[in-house]
Amino acid sequence: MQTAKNLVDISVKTKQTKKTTINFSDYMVYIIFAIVLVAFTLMFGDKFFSVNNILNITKQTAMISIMAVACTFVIGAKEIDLSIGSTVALSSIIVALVLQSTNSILLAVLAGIALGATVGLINGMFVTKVGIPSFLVTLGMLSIIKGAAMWTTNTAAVPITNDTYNFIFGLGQIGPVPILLIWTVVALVIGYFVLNKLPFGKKVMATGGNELSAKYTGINVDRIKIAVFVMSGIAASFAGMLYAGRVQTARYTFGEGDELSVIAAVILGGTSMAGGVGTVIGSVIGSLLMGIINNGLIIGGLSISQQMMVRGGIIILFVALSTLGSRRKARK
Amino acid sequence: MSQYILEMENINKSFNEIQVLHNINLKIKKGEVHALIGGNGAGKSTMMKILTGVYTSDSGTVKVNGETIKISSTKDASENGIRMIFQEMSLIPTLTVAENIFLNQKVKEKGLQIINKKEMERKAAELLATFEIDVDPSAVVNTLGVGYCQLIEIAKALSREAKILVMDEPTASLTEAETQILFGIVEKLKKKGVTIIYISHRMHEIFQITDSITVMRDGRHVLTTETKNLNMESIIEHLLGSTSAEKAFKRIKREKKVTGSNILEVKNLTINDKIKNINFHLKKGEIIGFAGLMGSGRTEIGEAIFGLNPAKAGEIILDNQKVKIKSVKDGINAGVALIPEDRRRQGLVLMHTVKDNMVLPVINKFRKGLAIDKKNVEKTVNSYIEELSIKTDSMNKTISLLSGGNQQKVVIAKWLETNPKVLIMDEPTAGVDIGAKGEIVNVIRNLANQGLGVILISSELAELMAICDRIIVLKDGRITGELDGDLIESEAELEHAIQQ
Repeated sequence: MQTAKNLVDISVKTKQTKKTTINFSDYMVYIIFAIVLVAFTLMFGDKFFSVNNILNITKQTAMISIMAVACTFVIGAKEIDLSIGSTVALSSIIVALVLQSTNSILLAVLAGIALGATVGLINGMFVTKVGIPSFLVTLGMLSIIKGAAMWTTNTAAVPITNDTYNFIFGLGQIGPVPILLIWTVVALVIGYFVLNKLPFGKKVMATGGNELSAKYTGINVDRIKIAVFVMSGIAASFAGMLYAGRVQTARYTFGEGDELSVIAAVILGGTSMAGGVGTVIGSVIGSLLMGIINNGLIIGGLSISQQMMVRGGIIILFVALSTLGSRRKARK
Repeated sequence: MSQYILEMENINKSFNEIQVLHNINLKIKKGEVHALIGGNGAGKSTMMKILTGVYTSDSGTVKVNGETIKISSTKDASENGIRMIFQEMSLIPTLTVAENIFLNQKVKEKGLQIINKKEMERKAAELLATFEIDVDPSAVVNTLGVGYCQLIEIAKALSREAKILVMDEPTASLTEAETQILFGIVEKLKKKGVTIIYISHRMHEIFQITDSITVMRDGRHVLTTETKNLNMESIIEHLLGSTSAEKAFKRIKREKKVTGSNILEVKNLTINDKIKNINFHLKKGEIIGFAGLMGSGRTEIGEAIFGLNPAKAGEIILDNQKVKIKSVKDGINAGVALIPEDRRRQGLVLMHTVKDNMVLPVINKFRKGLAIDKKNVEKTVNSYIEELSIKTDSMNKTISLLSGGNQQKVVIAKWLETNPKVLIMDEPTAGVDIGAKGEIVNVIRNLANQGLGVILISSELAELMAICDRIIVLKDGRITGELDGDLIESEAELEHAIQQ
């Protein structure tokens, strides 16, 4: 604090050096992304770096990316949502069941979205009106919804025979571009617009950055938090639809552990666990980065158990790198 | 042996290639209370952080009792008997008083460390008793008031032998009574031979308890002398340097008497069991002051009118219309704005930019279609930066990097953009250096001249006297008096009114 005045007075001179440091840590995820991309290309050649493989990765990461977009808002508002993985599963099953009985895509999608919104609303209400930490509320919700997903069909898988549905929500391609990539881009564009161009985005980050100050500013922080949980729930239910469309079947095992992948992607992407800071693009890059690592490990011929260990280590390493970067910035 | 217990010589320190301390020399005599003063950014806290091992200096030496010592960590400082009471409270709210005091101390020299709760509480009670701090050692800290926390903080610092004790604005959150307890502690420590370095913005305290004084300005040493050689004017002169001392708090007569209609009328406002039957009015273009100690209800009344903690009963009449204010949104819509007491916690999102902070309350109004109109936002922000002469090299600068005074101007701008009719300011100049204080006072005057009604809540009586048309005196949740700004002769008179 004591140095603040001097900083203001003299910083014009030092602008140049300062800019580079800030850029470096803010764009850490992009730097890591580029390094990993180049490294894998050098290691595996066109086994890795081919149009086909890259498009494949975007297909595999689409669901995580879409949920990561919504999760950026949740973590930006200094909350957490662990229930998304189960919401994926239950949503896929509900959508498949509605399709089975009505064969109406519209009804099925609406039912799925309604499920996600309801879960988000319940999460949000417990967090804001009852005052339970979101970690606990959504942890409980994770279990409830997973149970519900298993109970609904007695753990049986539900096939989806509606080809139009399967095309739009999973298998389709427009030219060479997989439809899952298109959905990812749509989510990214919406997320970017809401976070950066709408007052709502600013209010979310203000709530996460300093809740008390947001209250003193007249922001209805409860409503903001409920809204981000609803967004997160809807994104999860949408991801569930994509999982189902992709394999033409709904299963209660879909989305298992996705909540952790999503949170890892968001944090890798530069969103602060402490709230108030975050970018949607970073989150999607974080998700792609993890997809690329998965892909590279498979091409590299690692066994599933080895893959898991390496993946975990890489996540810690990368988050450590970006944390050290931002800490250095803060110290300066 | 040297007569100085502490000699810091030729201390230099830079952050980010910006030099914040230039060859500072600080010499403290054994057993004295030494005031260290300077505006925000003068470098006094940086100096003390170097002394206590929080930062390391780029060059220079530190001598304790004539011997050069190396301080590279807080532990080094602590082993040399240097203790500091930090401005930011370092107590753990969920632990008891005793647990906090002995938190980082060994129970015994060697062997397994097992805490004996009774023994620890007994020791704590002993320690608290020596300083006449009346608090139960087994009480959990978050059940105690802010003032007590500060006193416990002192007890904690002194639980191990201290040679040099640094106090950074220790009275900032204390009531008058607690301040007196603190001064009692300072006296006792002095008798025991503890040397105290006392940082404060409050001149009265400095004259009351310090023996010597060092003034710093812009990272440079200005002078060190005995306190009795100086008076208020001369200190202010040294603090401000070439800029004139009287600028800060000059009393300016309003050119014309405020005669307009009432912009705000408050009738029988009841907030809780303690604060009730509050009646007052505010005219267009008038500045009224709320004077009273902490806990007198001054902040609560402001927050009730703003809608943060809505009143239980009573009427609020704004611009001749009865309004119901049940939430902050109601308050803003009715034309009330509140500049809160704690700028850093309540007023700003510190990690965000100047721009984002400034437009936050009215962000919805800046929409063009659905999206925020960036150009319009930037135009507005720039116009405020110019109008209030906010010093920042860019509107995209993170606000935590601005000085306190400039941060406060951003908070003011933020609320002016809501087009308020009544502006409530709670301690608007707290933690702001004297130069910026004067500027903020001028801003308030200008706003009133433009027809805004202003309620100024402040502990700085000189500030209230300088700009208020009327001063309402509050005590224990009641209005106990009203003084005409022009007729108050001295600060003492106002102080007397509050203490009554």
